[in-house]
Amino acid sequence: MTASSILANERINLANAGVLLLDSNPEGLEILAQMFAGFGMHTPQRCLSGEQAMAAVRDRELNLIVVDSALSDTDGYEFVRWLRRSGIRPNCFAPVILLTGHTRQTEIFKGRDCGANFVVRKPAPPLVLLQRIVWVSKETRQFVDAPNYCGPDRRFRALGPPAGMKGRRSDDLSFEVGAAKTPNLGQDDIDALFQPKRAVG
Amino acid sequence: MNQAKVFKVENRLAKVIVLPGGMTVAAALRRADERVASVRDVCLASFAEKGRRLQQLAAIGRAGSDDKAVANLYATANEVFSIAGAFGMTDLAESAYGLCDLVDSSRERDEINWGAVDVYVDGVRFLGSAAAEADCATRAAIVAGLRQIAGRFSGDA
Repeated sequence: MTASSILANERINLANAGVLLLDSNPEGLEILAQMFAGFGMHTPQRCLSGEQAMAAVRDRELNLIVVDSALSDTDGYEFVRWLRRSGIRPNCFAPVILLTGHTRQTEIFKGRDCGANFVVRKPAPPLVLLQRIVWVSKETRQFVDAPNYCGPDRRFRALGPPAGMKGRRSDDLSFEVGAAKTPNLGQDDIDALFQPKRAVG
Repeated sequence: MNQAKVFKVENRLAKVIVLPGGMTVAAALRRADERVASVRDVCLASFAEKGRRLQQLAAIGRAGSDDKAVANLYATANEVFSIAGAFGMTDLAESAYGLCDLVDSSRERDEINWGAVDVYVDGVRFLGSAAAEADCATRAAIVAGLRQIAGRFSGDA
């Protein structure tokens, strides 16, 4: 599924979703809250600081978390990293959409590596945000818990390791395809794979 | 040795979002646009205060009397960018973003051209003011001038 494939007549129901909105900019938080009210979610948990958000994560079940990267007491990347390592279930696995305004050159990879499901660059109009919400609601990626990363698998497509490199994962296929160890299938055998016939006799 | 654990997690949002009721995507987008438009005036009114804060922080930063002034200057410009972008004010958003770029790249080189910062701050303050809303010619001239400054500093980087 691509992020843009959202149908106008597709129905969504966010009325009962536990949503946390985190933005230290009061106007930014108000804009987000109004967007979600428009989407049908009238009582999101609004937080102006990382500390407030951490308390909210401990207090209520959350189905979606939207975080701004720039916060007053920490930054959004650190909050997401804390969330993923917190062990507060099920919230530590909740989908996270990270919103970024201007991104410092030193922080470009933080968005990818902090454990967010999706990073959205501002401006994020309602269409873009809703596309991402629907996308993360259909999220099927597995979760990875490793010493240097915790969050959804950063691979959106399993294309294997780069050419000439050995993969680091146990399920990465070898780049080198060795010689066949069994005889090739005959044409009749290949045809039978596509047209299975009931055994007779 | 591979110490990573890979496992499936339950997507609770997936279960909630498909519950009966709700609304179509088209209706949700229309309502969201209306809701955001309803807070436009309140949000834009914050530009005056943020503009003053930018000016104060630039003065403090130039004087070297507060280490956090530059970080706060960056953060305030980023806030202006976020709000302006949300309401389609592209010239103000571009100028605020340019101020963030200028401060960030200057910080990387450990030297800040306060003259350039002052020009950007004045430009952002004007573009965010109510008086500038209808003055298209001046807006265009300011944006063009700020782009020249940005081009000069990106060439130096």
